[in-house]
Amino acid sequence: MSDPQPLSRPGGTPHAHHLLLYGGDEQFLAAALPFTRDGLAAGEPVFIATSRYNTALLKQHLGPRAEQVSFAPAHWHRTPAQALLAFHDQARTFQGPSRVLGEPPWAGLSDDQAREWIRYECLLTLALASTGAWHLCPYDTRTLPAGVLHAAQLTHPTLTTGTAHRPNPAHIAPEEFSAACDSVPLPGPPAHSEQFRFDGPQHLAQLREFTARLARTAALAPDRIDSLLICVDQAATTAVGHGAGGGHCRIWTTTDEVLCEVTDPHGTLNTALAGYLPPATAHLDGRSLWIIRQLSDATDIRSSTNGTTIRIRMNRRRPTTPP
Amino acid sequence: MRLPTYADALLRIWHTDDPPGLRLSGQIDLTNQTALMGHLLALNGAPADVTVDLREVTFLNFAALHALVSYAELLGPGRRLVLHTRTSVVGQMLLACGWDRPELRLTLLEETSDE
Repeated sequence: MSDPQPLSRPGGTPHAHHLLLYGGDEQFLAAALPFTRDGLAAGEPVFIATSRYNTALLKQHLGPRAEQVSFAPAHWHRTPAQALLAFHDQARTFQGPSRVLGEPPWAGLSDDQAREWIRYECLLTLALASTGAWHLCPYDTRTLPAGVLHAAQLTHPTLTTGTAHRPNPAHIAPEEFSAACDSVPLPGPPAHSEQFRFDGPQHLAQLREFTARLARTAALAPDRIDSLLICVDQAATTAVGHGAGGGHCRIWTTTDEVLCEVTDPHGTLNTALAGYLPPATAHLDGRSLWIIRQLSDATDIRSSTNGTTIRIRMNRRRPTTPP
Repeated sequence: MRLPTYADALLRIWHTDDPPGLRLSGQIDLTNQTALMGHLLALNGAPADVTVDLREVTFLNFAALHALVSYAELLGPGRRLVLHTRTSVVGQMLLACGWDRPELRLTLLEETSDE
């Protein structure tokens, strides 16, 4: 066990993604306060995106120094894909060392949603590598489900108590972890789903028309229909260009969502990192899945002997979005 | 009104003098995205901003937007590509790909109307 020492920045390593398991205010503050204060003292931007309770707690203990800290606006963690983009862009904007205390909103998530937030944690390590950002991820051991706490110990390369850091022996390579998330098969489309087959580029316009009609019937907001059409068109374009030259699209609605599934029967996509990481270079192929994940509320991609399926999900009931 | 310089089942393209650039109407997808790129490249290299009016475009696929961004990247210093649109999704795509960065010579004019 190392001696307590000031929290020094973890060098230029790509492992600046620390897990803090805390069981109360004291344990939280013991890590969060020095993390914040030392960052400010070093002149580094500090950004806090945590629960309302922990935000208030930190503000109270930071006193006037809280004014130097940026606190996340509401809805910062709207979807995992958008949170990853926001953190990545922010780190790049700072162009140097920065610190982030980030706690996703775990409360009230469905199993699917929790799985994607868990996956986001493992991908964050890759997305932030070389940006200079140091993320501290607090997990409340009193309230979080055992599965979330267990996964947190697999997705963070470093463990911290606030006074000491140590490498996490249980950490799994992000690509492997993300692939494991995809080993859970998606539930099949319901029998009442509507289907459209496309056999080439000449059918894309009809596919969009088919999609728009069903989305309007489901009362999806017009701006969300625009986004959905980009996603469906892109998924089908990929199938037309790379796969069998065609495929099929199934659409159905639930109380909460409109789901559009585009299947390329000959697709063999490796899904582990498909469209999850910010496009750093100009490869259009990598960006095409990224844009689908960014514009949808959630997208599940699976490959099997039946090809590659891209399931795009749009919320019918959306929380008010920030301007 | 001038005849379009390009027309297919989904898309029509006009060259415009004031402002210099293109006006498009319809949908741009895999079947006709190269026409957009071709007509962009056919614009003569006047030392002025280039405006692409997309207000009558009901669908612009991601690859076409990528082509527009590539065109903006190739413009000389002091010139900008101005995109005029009626849907917020163009701005969302630019943002998602980091194409909103200030050094990119691209200006987005959004005229979003409430439904």
